[in-house]
Amino acid sequence: MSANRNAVLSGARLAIVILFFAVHAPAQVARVFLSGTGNDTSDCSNAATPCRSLQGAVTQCPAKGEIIILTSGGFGTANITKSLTINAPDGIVAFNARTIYVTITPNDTVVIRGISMQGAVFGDSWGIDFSGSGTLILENSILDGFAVGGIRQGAPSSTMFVNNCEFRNSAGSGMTTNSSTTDLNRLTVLNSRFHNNSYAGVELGDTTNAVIKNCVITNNRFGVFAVGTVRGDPKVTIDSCVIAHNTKTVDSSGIRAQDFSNQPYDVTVRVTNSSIYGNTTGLFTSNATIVSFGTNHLWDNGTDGTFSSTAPQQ
Amino acid sequence: MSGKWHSVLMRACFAITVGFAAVPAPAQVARVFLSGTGDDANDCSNAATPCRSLQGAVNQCPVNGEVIVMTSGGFGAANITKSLTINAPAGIVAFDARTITVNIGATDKVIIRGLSMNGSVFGDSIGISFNNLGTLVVENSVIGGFGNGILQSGGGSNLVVKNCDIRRNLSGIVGGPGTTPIPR
Repeated sequence: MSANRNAVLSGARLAIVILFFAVHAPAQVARVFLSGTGNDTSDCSNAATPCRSLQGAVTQCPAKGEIIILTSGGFGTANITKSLTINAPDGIVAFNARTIYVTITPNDTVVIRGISMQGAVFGDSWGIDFSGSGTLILENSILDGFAVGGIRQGAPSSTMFVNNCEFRNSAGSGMTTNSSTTDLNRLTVLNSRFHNNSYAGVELGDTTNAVIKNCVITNNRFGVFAVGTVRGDPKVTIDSCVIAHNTKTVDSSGIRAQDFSNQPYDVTVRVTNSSIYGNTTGLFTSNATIVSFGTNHLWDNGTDGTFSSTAPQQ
Repeated sequence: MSGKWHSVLMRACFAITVGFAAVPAPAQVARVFLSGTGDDANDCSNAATPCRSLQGAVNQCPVNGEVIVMTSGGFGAANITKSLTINAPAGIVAFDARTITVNIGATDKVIIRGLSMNGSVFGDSIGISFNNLGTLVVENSVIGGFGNGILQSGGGSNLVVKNCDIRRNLSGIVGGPGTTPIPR
C-alpha cells in the first residue's frame, strides 16, 4: 500500500515537472512576430516561431509592445483592446480582408503601420472600426473596397492621426467620424488619398475637430462632407489639398457643409492653399459655413459655388 | 600519482586545443551580421550564421566596421565603446526595447541607422544614452516610450539626428551642458 502510494506520488511529481517544462511561460519581451507561415500555438516572441494570425499575435503581444510582421501573408480579423504597435515594414504585403476592431481606453495608443486591407471579397462593413476611446495612429496603409467604409472613428473623446494612407472604392465613405455623442473628437490627416468612394471621401460628423493637409480627394460622391447633427457640429481645416472630379451623382460636390439639426448652425470648414475643380458642384453649403483664406483655386466645376466669406491673411 | 596528474594535464591541454580549433578566429572582415534567428556563438562575419543580439554583433564587429541587420528581430541592450555603424535597411523592423549606450572616445564615431525603439514595456529610462565623447549619428529611426529618447550627456560631443521619429518620451532629445546637438 505504502509502496503503491509512493509510486503514485512520484508519478504525480513527474507529471507536474513535465507540465511545467511543456508550458513554461516565455521570458518577458516587448515584441512578438507574425508571418504568413507562422502558427498561433508557437511562442511568437521567438523570431523563428512567429504567429500566423493578427489576433494570435495581438493576444501574445504585451501591452505597449510591438507586433513585427516578418513575411507577407493574410492575417485576418482582430480585436485590439490594449496599447500596441503593428509594424509591417517596406517590402512586405501585410494583407487583411476582414475588419480590425480597435476598442481601447482613454490612455491607450494603438499604432497600425503598413497594412494592405481589401474588403471587397468578404464584404465586411469596415476596414478599421475604432471605438472605445484613446488614440489610433494609422500609417502607410491602404483600405480598399469595404462595404460601409474604410475607417470609422466612432470612439468618443478620441484622437486619430492618419499619415500616408489610401482610402478607396468603399461602398460608403473612405473615412467617417461619428462618435454618436457630444464629446469632442480630434482628427489629423496628412499626405493621404481618398478616391472613388460611393459616398464621401472624408465624412465628418458630430463634434469633430479635423485637420486635412496635403491630401488628394477625387472621384467620390462628396469630396469632404461636414455634417452637423443634434450632437454637435464639426470644425474642419483643409490645407494644401486637391479636391477634384467628385461627380458621382447630380448632387455631388467637392466640399459639402450641411447642418441637419437646429440652430446654432456651427458647421465650419476653413480652406487654404487648396484647389477645387472639376466637381459637379465645387462648394455646397446648407445652414453651414465654408471660409476661404483667400489662397485657393476654385474653378471649372459644373457650378463653382461660393465661399461664405474670405478671412484676411494675418 | 604523478602519472595520473600528467594524464589529467594532457587531457586538459587537448580539450583546450580542441576548443580553440572549434572556434577559430575569423578572417578579418569589415562587417558582421545580425538576425532575429541568429546565435551570438556563431562566427557572425558569415552572412549564413548571423548573431542574435546587438551586443553580440557589437562585440564581434571590428573597430570602424558595420553591423548589418539581415532580418527583423528584437535585439536588446548594447554598450558600444568603439567606432562602428549599425545598419538596418528598409524592409526590416530592427526592434529594440532596451537602452543602447554609446560610450566612445573623442575621435570615435558611431552611426545608428534604421532602429525601431520602444521602451514602454520595460520602462528603461533612456533610449540611446550618448554619455561620453565623439560623434553619434542617428538616422531613419523611431525612438518612443522612454524617459529620454536620446540623452547626450557627454561634454564636447556631437550628436546628429536625421529623419527620425522621436515621440511619446518624457523628453525627446536631451543635450547636456557643453554639447552640440544638431537635429536636422
